[in-house]
Amino acid sequence: MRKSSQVLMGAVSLVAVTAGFQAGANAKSPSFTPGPIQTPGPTTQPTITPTTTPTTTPTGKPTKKPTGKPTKTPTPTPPPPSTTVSHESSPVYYRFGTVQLTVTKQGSQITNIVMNQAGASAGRAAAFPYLIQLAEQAQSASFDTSMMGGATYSTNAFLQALGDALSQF
Amino acid sequence: MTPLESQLEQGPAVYPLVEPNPKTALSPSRWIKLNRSQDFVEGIGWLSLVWVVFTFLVDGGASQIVDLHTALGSIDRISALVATDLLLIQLLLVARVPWLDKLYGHDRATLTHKKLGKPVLYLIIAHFVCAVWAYAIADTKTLVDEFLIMLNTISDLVLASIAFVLMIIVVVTSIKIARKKLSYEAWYLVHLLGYGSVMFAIPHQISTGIDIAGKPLAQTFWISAYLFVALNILWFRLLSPIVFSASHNLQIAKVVRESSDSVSLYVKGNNLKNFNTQSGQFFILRVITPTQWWRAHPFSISAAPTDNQIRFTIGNRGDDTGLLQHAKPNTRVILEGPYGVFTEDRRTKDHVILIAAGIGAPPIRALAESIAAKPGEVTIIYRVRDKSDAPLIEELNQIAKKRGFYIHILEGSRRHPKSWLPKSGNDHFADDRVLQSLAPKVAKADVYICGPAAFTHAVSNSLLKAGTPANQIHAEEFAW
Repeated sequence: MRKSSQVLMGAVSLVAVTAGFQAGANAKSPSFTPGPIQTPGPTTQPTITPTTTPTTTPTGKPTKKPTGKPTKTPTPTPPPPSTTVSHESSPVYYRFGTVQLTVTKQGSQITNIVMNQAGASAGRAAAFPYLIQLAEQAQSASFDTSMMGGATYSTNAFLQALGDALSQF
Repeated sequence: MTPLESQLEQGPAVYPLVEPNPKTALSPSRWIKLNRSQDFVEGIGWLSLVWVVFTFLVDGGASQIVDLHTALGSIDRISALVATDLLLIQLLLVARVPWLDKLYGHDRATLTHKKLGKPVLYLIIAHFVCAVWAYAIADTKTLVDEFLIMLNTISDLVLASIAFVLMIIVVVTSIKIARKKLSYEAWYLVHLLGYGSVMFAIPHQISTGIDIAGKPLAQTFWISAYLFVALNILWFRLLSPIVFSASHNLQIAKVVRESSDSVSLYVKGNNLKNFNTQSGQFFILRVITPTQWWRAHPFSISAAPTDNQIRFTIGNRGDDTGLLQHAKPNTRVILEGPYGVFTEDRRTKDHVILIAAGIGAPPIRALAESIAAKPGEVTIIYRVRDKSDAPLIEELNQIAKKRGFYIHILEGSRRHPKSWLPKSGNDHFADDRVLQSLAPKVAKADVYICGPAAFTHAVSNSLLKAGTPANQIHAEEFAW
């Protein structure tokens, strides 16, 4: 290769590497941010708790982090039946660990998903909070997972566990 | 006369020569064009690597590193990506694709393929070790235990591990020491495992590759890269030679003895002009007999090609080439090619010096026949051990006489181990001075050298000392 071409290629490479690194550092890449492999949480049995005041204020987006209590319902009217039911999936064993989760529904609304076991080696566990968020938005076990690239197996295991838990309602 | 000898005809006293090429403009623009095309192809190869690294970085490949575990994960990924990219480039380099051959010639492409062998293996080893290590840390297991767990739980990893072992075998059998101990055929059969290695590695890349699985853009990139290389190999290495050889009905016409250890093999066929063969090029020849069909050998054409005949002149190197001397007329042959850039296409000057040694004579003989030149513009130097037993010597003399070229036959054993010249009256002159006396225009000429590697290097050194620029020296090495 001629000198001028080498210089050009070197410059292109340098820009690509720098830009790529910056983009990688800034992006909230779901599957590659290393996260601790979560330890299995306490298993909960299906419980029925009567709620006193169903909240009616709609919020645009569900919060990222799963919280212990239902805080919101996306649809404004009519007020859903006032029962909160939780079901736990059977554990799903897959390549990178074990996934087990508990889904809490208020009426027909999925209000909460808690990971009881979130086994996924090499940082793949970081995918689960995003998957929970997506599942709560979609209110089902079928949603677009194309953005979960790099965590295909963890995603599939999550969907299987979610489907299992939902089937118990 | 032995029974074999009686089968062989004597060569024609006067070989019918073709009309030389019409003179074309020898301008520097040719080189600029060539350089541009080369830079373009090399640039694409380089950019494929840059792209792979870029997508890896965008995915947080480097920024995710916080500890040993994540560092290993990153090395595991990037080494696999770069190795796969280089491996595909390596495969393409030996796919004998005409558009690469035109730019680099078969020998340079093969040399680059060779040079990439070890680095690719090191990358694959890094990928393997780092992957197992990273998972072992995550699962707090020993390396061996973790590897066994991975083998059991990840189905495609069994295939990938076979691919890994095959790749080690392929590279180890190709290092210099091993090549010396292995026959060409044994090495060749083992080297074919390389294709198996590449194919066995694909499933785990598609199904579990963190940078490929579930990423449409990356999947598109890699699948098209694999397809592109596979189609080039399938067509140019496998199908096109068979199709062309069959459709041109290529068969051996006759075998004619040239010297005590060389014969000319005449291959006949129809419409051979369609091959667009140039003097100085070579074909890879495969004689279709029950025992020889799988062993192919490269041979230069030894006469400018005509529409119904291609001639090769073959030395007996003691291996399979000995068997070729017994080839029977009307045996079918498969030709791959033509290949090589040892042609007039690379010429830049009016004056040309053609230098051959021993069985390096065939392409020089073909070039002398067809090269565009006025009388006096071409000097032929033919280095032989024994004038009375040198292949094609009569024909070279005949061409020189007909076309008005200077010809020097240098006969005898070397005057000292580092010289390419025989003993003569002027032994106190250095090689380059003798060369200048044989060809006074040496510094302003294009020089074509064909001979054994040591000879070619010695002559090249003399040429550089005599002032010939490196880009005017064209050499064809058959030591690959």
